[in-house]
Amino acid sequence: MINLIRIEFQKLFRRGLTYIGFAAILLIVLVIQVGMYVEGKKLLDFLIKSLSDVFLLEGNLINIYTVSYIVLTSLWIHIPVLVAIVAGDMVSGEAGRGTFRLLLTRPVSRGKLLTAKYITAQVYTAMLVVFLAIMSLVIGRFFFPAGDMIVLLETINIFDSTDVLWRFGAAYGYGMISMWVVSGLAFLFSTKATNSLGPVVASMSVLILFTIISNFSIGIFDPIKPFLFTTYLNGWQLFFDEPLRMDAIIKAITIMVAHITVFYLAAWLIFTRKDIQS
Amino acid sequence: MSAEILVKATGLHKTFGKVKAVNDVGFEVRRGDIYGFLGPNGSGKSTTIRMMLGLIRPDSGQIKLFGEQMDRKNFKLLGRIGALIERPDFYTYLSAAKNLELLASYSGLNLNPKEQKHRIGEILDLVELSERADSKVKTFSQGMKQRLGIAQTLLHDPDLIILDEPVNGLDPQGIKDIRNLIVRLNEEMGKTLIVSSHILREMELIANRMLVINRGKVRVEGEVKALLKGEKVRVILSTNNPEKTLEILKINGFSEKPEINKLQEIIFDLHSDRVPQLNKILVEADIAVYQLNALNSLEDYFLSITA
Repeated sequence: MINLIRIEFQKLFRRGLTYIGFAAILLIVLVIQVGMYVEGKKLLDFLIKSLSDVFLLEGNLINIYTVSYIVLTSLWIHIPVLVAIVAGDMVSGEAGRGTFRLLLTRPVSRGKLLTAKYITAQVYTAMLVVFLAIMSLVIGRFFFPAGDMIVLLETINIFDSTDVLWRFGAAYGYGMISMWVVSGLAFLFSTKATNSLGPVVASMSVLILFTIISNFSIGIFDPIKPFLFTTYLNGWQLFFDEPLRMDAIIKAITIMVAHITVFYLAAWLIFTRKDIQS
Repeated sequence: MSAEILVKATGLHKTFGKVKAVNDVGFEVRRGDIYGFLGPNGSGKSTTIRMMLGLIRPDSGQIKLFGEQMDRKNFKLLGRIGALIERPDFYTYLSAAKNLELLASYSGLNLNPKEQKHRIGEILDLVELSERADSKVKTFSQGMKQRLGIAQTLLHDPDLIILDEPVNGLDPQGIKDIRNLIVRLNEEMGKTLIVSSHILREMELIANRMLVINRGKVRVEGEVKALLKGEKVRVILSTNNPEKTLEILKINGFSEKPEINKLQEIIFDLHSDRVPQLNKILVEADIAVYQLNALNSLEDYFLSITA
């Protein structure tokens, strides 16, 4: 199995497509940070205008942590697209290129081959999220100072700069799990497709549809909302709440892990029974 | 003593939607054979080959490879087979050597890097690609890809090599190269080969045994020599005087009621021994013979299905 994973990584990192995700993340982070560096104060003044009348806010609120928090919101749409591009190509790409005929006429178990591909896709996804974390916190150092962080959720939370780093670590960890769900979904579609575009479009369509169902108050969908992974995609924000709601975090992670498992099993069932006609 | 049976297929059936792609196909391939799989495009050759390799599951029927039941759970049997199915598709962004290195890893070859490099060099040399070992496959011509395709089948020194349409898209020189390579693999390296093609001439030149398949059904199977040496042949005759020719055919007992097609060609069956005599009589009767084709039953059958 380790040998199969090693081969998958060799194939993955010798392709230009693989680096698009890293380049795009670098660009996303830079755009947000330059934007915040130039216009951030004006934006923050607008957001906390009503608070300024009631509270006395001192210090530099446009700091590395506030900006990194904004970067985290890219987990909503941008990073899922990047993740789906590679995960959606893992199986369908081989079918499209015709290379499955080469691989599956070797003495390799289909189940093991699929698992190696799945692990590779998920490790790649983890690498993208870690890269996002490093870029937002490292590049941010060049533009912004450290400082206390203000978070506007249902309540206003202000965190001391010494109390922030672990929250980011946990939020990115959570973000990684949520991206594994998206990656797993794209991978599942990939086992059915013979071109790379189909799984990306299909997984993005599901993501958008489920996000609409999760976020809009449409009564008939209320019973299914707790079971949709999109309901929990922005759950990383729970780590910027005080007090920490561990029950909500555990529930969210459990449902996302269940999705990851189901997507893998479904992909396994499809792939191990599939006739290779391409 | 008869040769060991490497492949035995019985009663294979496969349907895709409403299309019956393979219908009760069965055959045997023996060690040392170059076994031809002949049939027009869409006849079921590739589906049958894919079933042998576990790429497609038969609806019913059985395939035994090396005496063992072949199914997806028994994928280890594939370690004794090298296969090139239809187009030779590779990772075009990788070099020829790197492609072979990856495929060697999938084959589970436990070679150290030095041994592996040597093995890949040896194989590339055999298919005359050693000078392009480090070139990316996307720069290769179709003929070079085809040779690389054959090279990858040899990596793990298999007992049985399956080549599905290996001369497709090649120029005459490329066809000749592949043909020579196939014969070399069989005669010098002792490999058993199954080669599919839709070109009868190719099969005649290389195969010792052959199966003709059309619309998913086996039409003819057996030794190529025996199939081509049918006792009766179908004669297609074209002369300057069809009426007089018909009379001569009748008088000399060649044929009572031959067919005449739109081209005014006279068509009838005749014992192969009598063809020279027919020619002689026509010439002596001062009839100009434009065409005298004597087709054996296999050629006749194959022409009828590929026309």
